[in-house]
Amino acid sequence: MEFFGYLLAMYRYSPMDLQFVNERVAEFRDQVRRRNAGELSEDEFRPLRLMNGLYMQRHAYMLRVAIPYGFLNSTQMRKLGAIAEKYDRGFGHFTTRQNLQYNWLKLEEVPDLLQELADVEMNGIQTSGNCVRNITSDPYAGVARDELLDCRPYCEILRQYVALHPEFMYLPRKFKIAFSGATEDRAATEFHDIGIKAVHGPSGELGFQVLVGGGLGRTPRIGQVVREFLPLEDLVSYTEAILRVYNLHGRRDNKFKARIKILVGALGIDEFRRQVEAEWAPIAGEKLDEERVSAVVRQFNDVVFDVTAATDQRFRERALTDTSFRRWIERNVKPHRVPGYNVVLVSLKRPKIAPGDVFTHEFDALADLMDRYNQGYCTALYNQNVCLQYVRNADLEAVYDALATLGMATGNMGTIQDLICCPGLDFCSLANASSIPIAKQLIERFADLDEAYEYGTVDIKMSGCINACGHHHVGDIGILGIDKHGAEFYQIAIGGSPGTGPGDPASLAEIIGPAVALDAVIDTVERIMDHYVEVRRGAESFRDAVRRVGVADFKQYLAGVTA
Amino acid sequence: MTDETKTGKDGTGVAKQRTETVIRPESMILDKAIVASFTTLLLEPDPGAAAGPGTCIPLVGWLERRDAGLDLRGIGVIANGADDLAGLEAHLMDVPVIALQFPVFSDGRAYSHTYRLRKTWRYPGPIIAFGDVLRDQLLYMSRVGINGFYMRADQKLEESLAAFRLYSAYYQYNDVAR
Ligand code: SF4
Repeated sequence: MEFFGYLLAMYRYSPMDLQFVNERVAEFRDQVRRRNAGELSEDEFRPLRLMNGLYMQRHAYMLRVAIPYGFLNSTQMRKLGAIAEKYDRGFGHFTTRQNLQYNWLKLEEVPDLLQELADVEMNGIQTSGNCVRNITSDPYAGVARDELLDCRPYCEILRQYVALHPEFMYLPRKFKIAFSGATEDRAATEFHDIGIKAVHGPSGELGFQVLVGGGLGRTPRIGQVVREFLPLEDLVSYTEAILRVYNLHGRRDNKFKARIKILVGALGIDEFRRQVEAEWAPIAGEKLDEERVSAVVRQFNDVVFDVTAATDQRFRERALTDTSFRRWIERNVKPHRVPGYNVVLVSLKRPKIAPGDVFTHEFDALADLMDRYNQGYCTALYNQNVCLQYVRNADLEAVYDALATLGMATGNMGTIQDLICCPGLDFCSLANASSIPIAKQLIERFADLDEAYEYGTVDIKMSGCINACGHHHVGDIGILGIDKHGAEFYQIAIGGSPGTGPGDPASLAEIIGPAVALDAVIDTVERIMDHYVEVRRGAESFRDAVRRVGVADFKQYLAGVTA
Repeated sequence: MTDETKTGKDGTGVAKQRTETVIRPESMILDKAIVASFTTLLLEPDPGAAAGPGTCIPLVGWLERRDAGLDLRGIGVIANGADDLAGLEAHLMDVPVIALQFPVFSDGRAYSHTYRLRKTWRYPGPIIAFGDVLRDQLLYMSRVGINGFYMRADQKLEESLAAFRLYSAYYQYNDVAR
């Protein structure tokens, strides 16, 4: 176990990192120049820009900026706001995968934008393209109470290893890796191409369990165990073996069948494992040496804690009289491994604003809060909120008051209002249907917190098309936009879960009836909640109730009320 | 936000197959310099008597000749992504040159073939990339161990050399240094 007094905060660039990112910007600047001069065709340019995070959307170019392990410092936060103002339309969008996106960019300005990001140790490298994408981890890494291992140094070693890895930049398809180091899996490792969980080995030593072939999208699959226990020191070589098998044998004739989950399905996990082990054998001697691990650990800043923080309990007095504050404490403030400290969720689920959107002045305001109360940091969460993870008891009230003025202190975390959605038809060129407008309607419909609390913890996830960027397969309620004869329709499913641990196994949501029109989505969600309230036992959560009575029961109920 | 990424130009992964069956550009890049090309690629499954010193022939044909005890002196091997190169391992010391095909630049299988050739099997001879070989992938090809390039006809060789000077250091510690 780690010790109080100091924990790892945020990775700082080494001189090598800085030089690498600068050189990457220079390379891309030249590619943009050649594209504009007609020396590169769009087909040739597309993968080059995607590997720098740049997409062509419905209206303009979109840039996806990586936020490694979700960590941001206040300088970066201010820069993100300044970039939103200078290059975009005054806002940025936190995504469902700990990234930030700008939606209204001009191609010729992107190299300058990337340089500004590089200046504050940020980039968009490998946030898209058929390569290993930015690696994600438990958003509460370093502060979670149930943590066995802060995986981030290992994530970072792997990130460096795959950064412009010459062999793996043209894989059959994109490749996502996630780590979880705690007993509760908050990183959805079961739904990644490779999912890596910290576990104890036969003699109590720490290592990793490795899952492979999970994923959402049009063919959702839960990952399967390819290796029960991998010593920490074998992380890189074993990952390399998996990537090599996939690069050689993953399908390239059909992009919809090109993900590793299809290869694993076709071979069966046992044969896949055999091939990986065979590929691994000649390189299994390439161990991570301790010096390499500690060199990376040294690049993480430390956070220092005040051991007397727990003695301050004044916030409890205000909670007695101020209902909104009490609700905020109950829903938005989470326990910290250090007594007297708190993880404060900053709600980006606000009426009339797309989930995850932040405006220029808010970036600045958040940066100020980070500096004053959170040692200069914050973390972006996969559910499109951010969190301040080092808030002392003594500062809770001040943080609450400041967030309240930004509309970010509503005690709605984990409630039905705390939904996530992809950009959908508003921005994405692949969308079949809107998701942001529906999200706004839902937040408005369930704006009454008393009602929201009545429903307990409910996780709504929405995607504008089958690609599932809104992770609808793993929502308590999953909403998928489809195109029905040119009209926007929505398929509604319930019973999904990303799988947070033994008591909550991963499951895919099941469809509860015919797709409904745009104006019927809210009604359907209401009816689902009605039925939940009817069937639940005591304080049973929505997820548990659905598991107990079965999706069919809800299906029947809905068919009855609409008949 | 998925994905504009494409596997092949027509979505099949095998876009724009070359129709030429004999490939020998005037110049090539070898060990980061422009030189006259030194081998002729005969892509016909059975090039017959055309095969001889200074040519490369497809893997299957090469192995057949080998098994038949025919003279293979000076004849190199052509392989594509789908080939299984393991059958070549035992004979690698007799192979003067290996040419790997990139049917489309986004098909990355040849990178892993190169890795095995260089790192696992320690093949010391030249490996040439041909097909959809473009400036923007040269560095990856070179770093994984390809040292010869028959670039696509429209590519400017002199300018392409800039690709080797883009970065001053890399993260990977198992680069095949060539
Ligand atoms: S789920 Fe579909 S509509 Fe939504 S962002 Fe992804 S690709 Fe676009």
